[in-house]
Amino acid sequence: MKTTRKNQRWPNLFLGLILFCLLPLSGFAQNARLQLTNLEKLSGKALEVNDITLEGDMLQLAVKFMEADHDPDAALVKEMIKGLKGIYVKNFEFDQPNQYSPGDVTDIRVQLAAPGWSKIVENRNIKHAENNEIYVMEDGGKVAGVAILVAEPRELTVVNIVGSIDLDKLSALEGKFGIPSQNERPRRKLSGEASQ
Amino acid sequence: MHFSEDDLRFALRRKDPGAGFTQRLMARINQAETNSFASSKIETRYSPLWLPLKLRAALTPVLIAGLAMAGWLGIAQYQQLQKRRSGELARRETMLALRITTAKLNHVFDRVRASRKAKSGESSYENNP
Repeated sequence: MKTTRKNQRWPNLFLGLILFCLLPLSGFAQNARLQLTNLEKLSGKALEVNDITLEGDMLQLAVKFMEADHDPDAALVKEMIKGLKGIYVKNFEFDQPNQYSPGDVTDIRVQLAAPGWSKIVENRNIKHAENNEIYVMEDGGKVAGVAILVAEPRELTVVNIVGSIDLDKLSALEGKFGIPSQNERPRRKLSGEASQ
Repeated sequence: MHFSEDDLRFALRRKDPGAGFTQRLMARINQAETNSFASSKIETRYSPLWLPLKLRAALTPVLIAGLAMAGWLGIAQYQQLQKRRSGELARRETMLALRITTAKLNHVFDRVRASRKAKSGESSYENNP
């Protein structure tokens, strides 16, 4: 009798074990967060580094702090980041061109080739040796993540937004709360585009 | 027991103190004065410690409560300061992240727009040379 009970337990245990092993995979498949640690080595070469990691709690804290300080931009920021789980930015500015290898960018692209991600914008500018890409991860018809990859000869930027965000609204933020507008910004390389 | 009048008279008769009585008396007086001075000196020196013993017993809980209150206020102040610092940092980082994101997003859009413009310019030139 005892042996029979033991035998009945084995399939359940086995099934549980399989489910336990598959659980992280299912989470990984829907995770819009990119692993950007491979870019950390560029910090030593860069002239200017902006490495920002903002998790959900920090974002909420920022909004709370802005509200408490009666910041006029608080409502705008709150509206923008209400559906976000995290913002991760890696921005490196170099004094010389080609300070990062194509492999550094390929590592990011490999992650963006995973299921769920789709490239919505790609702009290759041979003249300026520039690659600009925007990827979106959709989950049930909703944006679950955004990745912006801007690879210029002297600058590399990877922005990874996890959560729901409206790109049009984000784009319209220019000129608000200290974000320089297109007219204010120095137009370094914009002239005579030739791309795909 | 019965005492006669003569017995009492005998017992209470005058007695000669003997030679050196005055010196002995004066010496004793001096010694007593010295002792009392010394004890009063000790009393004055250590009085803050042992005189208000009763008061000290009553003050101890008040002191402990005061110290605890001061400690609690200090911790609360420190936590408030830490919260403010992390809030300020979060705000700064959020603004910087949004600034970079918006700038790069618009940079990509600009490039795309410019390339479309260039393409449409080319095609219009091809149609109407």
